[in-house]
Amino acid sequence: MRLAAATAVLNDVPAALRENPEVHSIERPATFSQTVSEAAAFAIEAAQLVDLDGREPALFCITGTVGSSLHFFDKAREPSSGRLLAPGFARRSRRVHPFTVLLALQNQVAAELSLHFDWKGPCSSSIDSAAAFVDLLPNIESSLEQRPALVVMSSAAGRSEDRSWVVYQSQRQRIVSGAVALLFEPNGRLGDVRHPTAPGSALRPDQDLFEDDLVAPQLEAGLAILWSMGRGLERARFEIGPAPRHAQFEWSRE
Amino acid sequence: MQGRSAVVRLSLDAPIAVGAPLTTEIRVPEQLSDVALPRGLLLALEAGRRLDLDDGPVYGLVVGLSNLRADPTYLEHVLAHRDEPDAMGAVEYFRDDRVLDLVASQVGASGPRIRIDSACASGSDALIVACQWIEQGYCEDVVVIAAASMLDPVGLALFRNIQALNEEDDLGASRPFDRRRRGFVMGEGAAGLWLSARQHETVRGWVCGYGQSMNAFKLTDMPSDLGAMENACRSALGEVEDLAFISAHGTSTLTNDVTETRLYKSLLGKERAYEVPVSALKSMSGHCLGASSLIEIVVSLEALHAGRVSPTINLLEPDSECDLDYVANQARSVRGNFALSNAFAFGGHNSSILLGREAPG
Repeated sequence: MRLAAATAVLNDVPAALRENPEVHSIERPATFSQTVSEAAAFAIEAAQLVDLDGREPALFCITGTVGSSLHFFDKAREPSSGRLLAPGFARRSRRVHPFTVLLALQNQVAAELSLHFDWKGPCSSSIDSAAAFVDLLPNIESSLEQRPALVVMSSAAGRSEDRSWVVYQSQRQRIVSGAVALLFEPNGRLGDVRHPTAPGSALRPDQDLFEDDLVAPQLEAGLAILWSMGRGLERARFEIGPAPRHAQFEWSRE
Repeated sequence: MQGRSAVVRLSLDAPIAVGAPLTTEIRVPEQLSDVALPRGLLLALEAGRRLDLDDGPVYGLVVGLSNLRADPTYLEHVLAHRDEPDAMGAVEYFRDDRVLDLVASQVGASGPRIRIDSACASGSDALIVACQWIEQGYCEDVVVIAAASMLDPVGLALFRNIQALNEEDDLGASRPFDRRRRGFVMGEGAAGLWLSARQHETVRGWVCGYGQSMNAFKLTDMPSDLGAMENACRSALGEVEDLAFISAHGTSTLTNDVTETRLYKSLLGKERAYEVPVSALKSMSGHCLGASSLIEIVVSLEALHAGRVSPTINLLEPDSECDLDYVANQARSVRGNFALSNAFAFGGHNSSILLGREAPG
């Protein structure tokens, strides 16, 4: 499957990607607002760096944490116990902001991309599966029969319970938020991405490419491709997601 | 088929009076009896447990399940411990790969796995991912499960606060296409099916087409330009004319039901639109959010086999803007080999599936 464009916008760029001109450092995406989650805002920033030349893509969103909306519930806690569901919740619950549902839904990233760019094509919105990119390769391939395919990985886990969760899981303190956009086309010139024909040893982006204290949940596959491109590698194989899945993909320049 | 409603009065400190809870027993896996599990995940496990799968195939797994971080158990915990990484182990089954891995292990799926969230279209979008895996030769057998549970005080409050729910204390409040409709009634549930590329002695139905699109309109509203929704339906329908019925999204909200009516007139032509029955299961099940479309697909397959479509109940006062044949209040015999099942979700996801009683020609 041929890659035509690849770009990333990150709040904290791993050292191995700092020289790559397609990797951009953005502390706070411009569209981040009260109604657009941080992950969706990063996704918009990354997608607008991809030149689609007016064409409408099939959209594949691979979304991690979109940004905590936990603080919206604080106003509905019972003051003395701190509990949310203490007696009187039905009344206090009116203080929970109406945007909470919209900001919590992870498909909001796909929705915001569609809204922002007026994309009305097919869309697949996968969430919270580290190896989603590998398992979506057949679906991306399928969509290429009719239109280009844009894969947008995004995650923003820098706040409160999201940060605590990632630190708990990874034991790492530097959490990269951002988005990666990959455009696939039948005649893409940057390289090729596919499933390996047989299992073999592979690099793990989280262990082999980045600093020991850094983690980039949901973005690893895209960053691994950008890393391969930046290094001019002819071929590389990567494994994504927790063991023992062995979800692997192969990058080649030809 | 009998037109029985699942809607009951809620006996909890709930912001809303009625809902449609799942009434069947949910079994908690023994090895997990001591850990906190979200109800949505339990429903997914239950749907998987009830699938009669063969031993042997390497199953892929696609789970339609929105994020579980509005579950009251999770919220109570993280509100108190949000800055304590060491405290997150207590809620690990509410997040990330743990959810998918648990369902995979319970159903015995060792192949590829993915989790889909396109809000109320999650179930049918999960099915589309599975179809493409099979078409591309990535898998021969895929288990598709969709589940949703927000029928708790928090979930009800969240949807009430965006004015999506009917707030009446009325067991007949879920009334798609009726003039008195005022929003949806919250349901919960799960469905599962096994999609296979291999020959089987017993086949419950066929997926004969599918289509997807985005509205690029608003997150919670329907567009006036129906082009994108119609494209999804047309991709699914192909050249099929032999349509037994349409399983509508039919949420009982003011906008959805009018928009869907306009859509079917545009899709089928004004004359034919009056001839194809349109059934809204949510009149009985409430709106089971991300699980609803897969539940409706399973029910539609059974209806195709029975040659009998389920009714839209509580449809007592017709709306002049909703004037199609909605199979009002009583199940009815239908002819035809195909059914179109539609989901139009928050965020503008349109997902349409063509189901067949027989193998596609």
